[in-house]
Amino acid sequence: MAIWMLVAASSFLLGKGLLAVMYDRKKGSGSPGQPEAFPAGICMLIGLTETVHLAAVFLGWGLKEALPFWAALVLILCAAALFYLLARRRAFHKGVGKPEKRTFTAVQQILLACFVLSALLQVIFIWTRMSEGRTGDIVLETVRSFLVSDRIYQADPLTGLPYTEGMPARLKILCLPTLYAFLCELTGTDPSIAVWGLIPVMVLSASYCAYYLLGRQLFSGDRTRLCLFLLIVNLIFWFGDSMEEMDAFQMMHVGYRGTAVRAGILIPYTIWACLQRKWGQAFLCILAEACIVWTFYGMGACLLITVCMALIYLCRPFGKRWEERSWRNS
Amino acid sequence: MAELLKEAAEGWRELISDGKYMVFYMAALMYLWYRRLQLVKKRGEHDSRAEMSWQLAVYAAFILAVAAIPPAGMALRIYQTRFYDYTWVLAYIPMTLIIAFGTVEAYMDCYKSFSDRRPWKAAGLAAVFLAVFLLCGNLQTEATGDDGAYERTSHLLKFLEERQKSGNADGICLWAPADLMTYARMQNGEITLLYGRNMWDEALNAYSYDSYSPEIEASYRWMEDCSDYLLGAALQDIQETEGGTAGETAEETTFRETADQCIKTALSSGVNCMILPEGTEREGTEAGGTEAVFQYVTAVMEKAGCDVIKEQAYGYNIFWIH
Repeated sequence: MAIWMLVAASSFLLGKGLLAVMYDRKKGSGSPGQPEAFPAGICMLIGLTETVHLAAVFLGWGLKEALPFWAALVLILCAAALFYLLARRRAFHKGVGKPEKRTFTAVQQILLACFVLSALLQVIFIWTRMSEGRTGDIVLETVRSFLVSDRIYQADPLTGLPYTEGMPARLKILCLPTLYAFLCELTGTDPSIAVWGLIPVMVLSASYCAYYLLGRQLFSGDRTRLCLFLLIVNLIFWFGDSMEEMDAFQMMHVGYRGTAVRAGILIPYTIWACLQRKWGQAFLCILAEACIVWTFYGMGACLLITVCMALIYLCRPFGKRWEERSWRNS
Repeated sequence: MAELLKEAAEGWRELISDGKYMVFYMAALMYLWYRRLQLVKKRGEHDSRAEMSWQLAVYAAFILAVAAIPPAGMALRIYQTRFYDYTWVLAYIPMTLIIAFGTVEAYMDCYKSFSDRRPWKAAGLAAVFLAVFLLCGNLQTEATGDDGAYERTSHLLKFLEERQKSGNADGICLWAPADLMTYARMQNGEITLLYGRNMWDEALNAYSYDSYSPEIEASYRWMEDCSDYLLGAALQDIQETEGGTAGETAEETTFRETADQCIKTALSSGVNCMILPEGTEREGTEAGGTEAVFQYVTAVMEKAGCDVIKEQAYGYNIFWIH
């Protein structure tokens, strides 16, 4: 468990470092926030895994051969991020002043407590369902297949026998099973616990981070609304799982799938980035989606959202003209 | 084209029939638009928050329109690769975000409209919102539907692993009924299977170019028929049908005819562990007894030059083939 906490911390550190580099270019923009770093870190972890995964697939490396490269890459970048953050600490805090004191009213405290309690119940719910079989995807079999055969996409995960005709190249570049296999190999965790228990909890946590960012932005620091917003998102995750395609189903039942990472983390994070006009971070999500979900030649939901939001942003002058006309008419 | 349109229409129907969150989404969206119009009427200040809300509402309305209109939805489906069903266009609709955002705004606006803002009024309003919210959704539908098969498989696989370790088998290549084969490799990556669950779950065929030979497909059908037969599913047919040799039904004749070929296919594919349900003894048919089936299966294997050890565990007959 401690190693898994370390993995979560390293993704947080990676995100923090990456955003610090991006923020540093814009002088006076201050330090990136904590919740922002976690989803960004997950995107970066996906990117690093994809690099090693592609090398392994095309150079024919085994899983155990590729693992040291991946671990070294993550460690080096974590160390670099830590070093950079410590070095720039003073610069970030310069001119920002003392952080505001966070006081919560009684209503806000109740809402927050309800949210935290309910989120913890969700974690327990995910853990209790680990002993139930799931069909519809082959993630767990793929991870087990990687670990047993020590090869990446060489054996059919459904039978364990070598492929005779192979698999689609578009699927071959998806790196999520490799990431899970790396984590299982590194931590010694049983794949079913990692894939059905630990990963969904991490995805759920990162999802709440992404929704927190959105709420903070949409409610401009109104904490009552923000707490209420998070609580409602939490309730939707509990009650809105009527279909496999719903975010709630993805989060609560199959949080390890690429589509769940997309629905819970990448899409809210992309929308937040677009609303903030942080196109670099939106681009990060587009790349991450292409690495984990079967998309149309790499073009997926995040790209569509980014394009639509950019167009809406560019069309603002027309909207304003329409509103002025409305005023004149009224 | 017509097929795609039909799929889009069916997908949309499915979307609005399972749960009412799509209706909730539309209501939340309409409320956000209504707020914007009110702001325009009042010549309100365009602060950054209002601008962001507006951009989000425009995107949400646009993507809903695209998803709801069949030709546009069809384009969206092609864009997200035709591997996914139409209902996956939901991925582009920020449903959770818009519902949560619209509900918060509606709740706070309602509360602010009260002249007398007392805590019990806030709680009462919250209860109304919560009731609507819960009635629109459903609490944790059964996502797995494994009917205890995962646990059964787990016990059986542990038994097989123990036997494997004690030297009865080198590496297990399994041939068993579908409910066991479904979860076998989820629990033990070292086991290989005669065929995977893409045999009966066709959607999984998208993950590979490999396909099964007609012989392997026949083995799958025979195994399922045999399991059903042993479990008594075809009892009525057996009692009603006559044919074959004396005391043997038509189904049993077919069983014997296909069993030889399917077992030989399995053996040539490297199967060293075959599992059949223990089954229930039948009344009225001597030749149809479950023990007769097991004896016949063993005889076919031995005829093919294999040594067979039969064991019973957890309601299954295990045939170790050497």
